[in-house]
Amino acid sequence: MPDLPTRSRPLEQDAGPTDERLDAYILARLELIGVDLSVLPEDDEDAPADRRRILASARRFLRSTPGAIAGFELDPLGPPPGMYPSEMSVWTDE
Amino acid sequence: MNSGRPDRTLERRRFLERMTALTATAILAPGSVARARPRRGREPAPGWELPEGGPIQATDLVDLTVVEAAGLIRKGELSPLELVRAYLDRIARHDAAYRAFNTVTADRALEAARRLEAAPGRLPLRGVPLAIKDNFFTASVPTTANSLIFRDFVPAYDATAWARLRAAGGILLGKTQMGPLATTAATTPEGVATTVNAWSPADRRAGPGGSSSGSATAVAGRLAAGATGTQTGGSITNPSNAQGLTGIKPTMGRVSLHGIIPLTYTRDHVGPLARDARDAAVLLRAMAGPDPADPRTLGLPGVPDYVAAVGPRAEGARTGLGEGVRVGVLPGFVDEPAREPEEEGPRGGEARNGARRARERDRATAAARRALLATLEDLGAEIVEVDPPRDWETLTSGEFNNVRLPERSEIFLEELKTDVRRFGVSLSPWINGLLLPAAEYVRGQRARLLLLARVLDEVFTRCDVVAQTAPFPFDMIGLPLIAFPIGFEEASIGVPRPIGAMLGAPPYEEDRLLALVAAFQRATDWHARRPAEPDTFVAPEDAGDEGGRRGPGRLDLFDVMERGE
Repeated sequence: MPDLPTRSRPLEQDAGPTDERLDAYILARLELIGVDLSVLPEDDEDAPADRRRILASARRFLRSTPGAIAGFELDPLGPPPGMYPSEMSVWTDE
Repeated sequence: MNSGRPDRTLERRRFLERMTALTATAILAPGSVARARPRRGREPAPGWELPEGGPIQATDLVDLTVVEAAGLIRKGELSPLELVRAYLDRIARHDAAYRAFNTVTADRALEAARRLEAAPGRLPLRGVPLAIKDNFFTASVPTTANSLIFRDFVPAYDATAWARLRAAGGILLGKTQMGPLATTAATTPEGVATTVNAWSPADRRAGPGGSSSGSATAVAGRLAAGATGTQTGGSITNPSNAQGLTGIKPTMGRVSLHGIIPLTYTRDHVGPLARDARDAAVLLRAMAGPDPADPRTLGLPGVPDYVAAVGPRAEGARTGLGEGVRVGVLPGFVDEPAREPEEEGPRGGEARNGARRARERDRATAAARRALLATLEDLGAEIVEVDPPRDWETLTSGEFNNVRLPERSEIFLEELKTDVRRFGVSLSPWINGLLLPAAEYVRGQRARLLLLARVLDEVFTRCDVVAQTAPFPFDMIGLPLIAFPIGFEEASIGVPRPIGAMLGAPPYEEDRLLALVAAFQRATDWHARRPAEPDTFVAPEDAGDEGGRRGPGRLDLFDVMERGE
């Protein structure tokens, strides 16, 4: 497998969107695929999950993970993702 | 590379190719988990033998190892019924304290033992009572994964791994407690902790490890001779280390995942939790091998002779020490980790106590690791310092580890759309998995392959096995990992707590790990120690030094995010 140089570029955490914008993004994304958080209590620490904590966790995830991965540059000729096993099985003679 | 060592070039190339091809291999469609039907093609009853037995030290039937018990049954000195009754008696006496089981299948176990007695044979595990994690399909026995989603699910067939253990003569004692859907330590879906650590059942500050918590407690507490687990992020190795057991997470594809409730497509693994390396070898031998129902298991190098590998004079096996094995050590392995300054303020006293306990444990762990390396060196191993591969910290960070999350979200998408409340305390990672954009998911998958290539090229060219401080880098890239006890400490909470270590190896070299640990266990007795009997039952809701909603007896949504799976 070719192993070409990589570069990691840190995300500027302070420049990100506000909580309100992220909440709107999260809820819109979930609404588009039919996942409904409104069945959860708004804020209830005795419940296994509530909207406040789920959204806080989701905001933390969005502020860290996509940016960190996007900031890690991989050469386009580097390792393939291999999303199609039937084709890969032909390529690799498996 | 020394001429005496196997040429791994071909195996490495094939492994990389398979990892690439399997990234998108579908196993079970999300809505079809409970409706999936068995596929044909399982192997016939096994044709392998137990390792030679040595002198038996046990004074109670439940203290026998798998190898010892099966050996006595084979010689006619112990009956399967006698052994099953001994375990059922112990479960009846102590499982109210341990909470290791979800379901105890007492009548079925007795019936299976009688059936085996009526049809004597040379099945290698004939009459050995086993505990099976509750995410393995077991025909006609509830399989809940401790989740509301599977509350009423009763599979029509056995998972391939359990079917093979049964075909080898294993007897199902029951299904074990686990973190909901194989996340975190064992809790109810609402987050109330169930299972305790068998070494400190009255003190929840020492957790049982998760998510195969009940399996670990069952084996450590002598409620079962051996157990199965699954691992996506440390769920076999962490509870094994927490409870003084030997557990092995094999290479991706070594054991079929058919009939296992999935958490991810690319990182789920099946393996045993056992009392020592010999037991782990025979249990893995029973489960491993190709299964047409799981394409991840096909076209791999043949399964090595794990049983021969753990023998004292194995001929022709990759016995590790016999070949002068090189044990790689990454920087910091024997150092006490730096910790944050103690917390001040209203919770300062509590935080200081926690920090003190952590420091005591760090100190004992560092000493036990130094002793481990010294013992291995005495046994003939070469200890070599290895540098982590390039970008190690980035590629093994939590952010890159999160690439697994969309897989679980996709598997359970129908359930997420139906009612998110059914995910209970574990909901957050399922929601977060829906929020990772496809471009980052693809890049994350490419980064896994890059990490794998670098581990093979930059670490395993310098050593044969490598000491690990955390399971998830090898979980991410599908390499084998073994956990085993290397000592004890009691300064942290006042009762003995096991200290464990983990070693990783190149793909398909589980035999090398088992051989190395078997050799270590012939020179030490940490694996032979057993916890004291439980004498105090502590209600989960009231347990621990904090108690209350976020005490050790109950996990919060954020606790779940921070623990293994």
